[in-house]
Amino acid sequence: MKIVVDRHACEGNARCSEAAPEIFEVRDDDKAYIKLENPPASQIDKLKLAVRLCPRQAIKLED
Amino acid sequence: MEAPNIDSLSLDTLEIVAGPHFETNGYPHAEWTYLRKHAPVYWYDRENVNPFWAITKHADIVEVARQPKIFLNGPRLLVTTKDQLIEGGDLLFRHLLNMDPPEHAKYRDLVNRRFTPRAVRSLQQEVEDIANDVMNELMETHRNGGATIECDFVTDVAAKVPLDVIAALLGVPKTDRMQLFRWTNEAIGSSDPEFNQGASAKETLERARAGLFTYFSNLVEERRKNPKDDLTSALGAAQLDGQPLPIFEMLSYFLLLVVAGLIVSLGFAAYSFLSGRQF
Repeated sequence: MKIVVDRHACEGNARCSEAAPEIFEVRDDDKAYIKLENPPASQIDKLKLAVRLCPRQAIKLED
Repeated sequence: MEAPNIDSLSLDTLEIVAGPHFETNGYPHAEWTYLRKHAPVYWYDRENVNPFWAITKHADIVEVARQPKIFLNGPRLLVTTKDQLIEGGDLLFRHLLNMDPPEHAKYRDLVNRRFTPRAVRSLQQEVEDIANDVMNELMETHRNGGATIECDFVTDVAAKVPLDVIAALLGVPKTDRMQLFRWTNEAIGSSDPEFNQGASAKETLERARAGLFTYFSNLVEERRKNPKDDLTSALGAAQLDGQPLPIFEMLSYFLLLVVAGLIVSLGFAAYSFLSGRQF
């Protein structure tokens, strides 16, 4: 599984880094970045929550 | 004020729209709870209202919000009882709340960077200073002889802090801020006798809109000559598809920032205070 952030759509609302702080961070350019490319199984629920909460739907999970 | 017991409600008679019901029973928490339990997607069809789908579960609301091409903002913004419906009210402004994709994102992108968590964090000191000023002023003007302070929390605190913050963001001078509050009340409470001074709801809403539009039209003109680091200058200079913003949509944007920014923050602060919650 690959996590993809569309940084054109991202506007730095930081919902992802609140939901899954181990996986996402929002940097000074107000864009989300992936800290952890392959999160462990214990983090998958948080990852899915982050995808769901993004107001711009900028995070996708690809197989 | 006594909230109704959830078990005493029934689907056919519960009321979630009418103002007088709110006045008597408070915010309809029991009704929302009932709907979430028994009919989370409910076609609310009553004599006193144009029917609508009441979606009451958080997960369902998120799903709806994530599908802006299926669930539109434009056709209908407000749910009110028929006697309070303002004919043509939705046509009095065009802003984010009644726009849909792709237009919605274009307008949102004009200012969204000023409202990211990072941008808002940079305002922390300014907001703290405003909150302190409001409290200090209250101590001076409302000290009731001794150690206690008697005031109207809504107008003296809950309104003043967000009003000063929004006005600072927009670059509105301090002397004009109470006027913004009056227009907001007239726009939101246009059928409320406290705000409409005997005029009809539509006249009251139009008066507020005309006041706000004229005010910001003048302020934009001033900022186009002497730009500052405020939202008014930014919107005055903003371009959409290579053109300056259409005047109607630009002035509607100011109306949204003032009215929605103020009323939501005010309601949140007042309700938190009432419920004893920290915020």
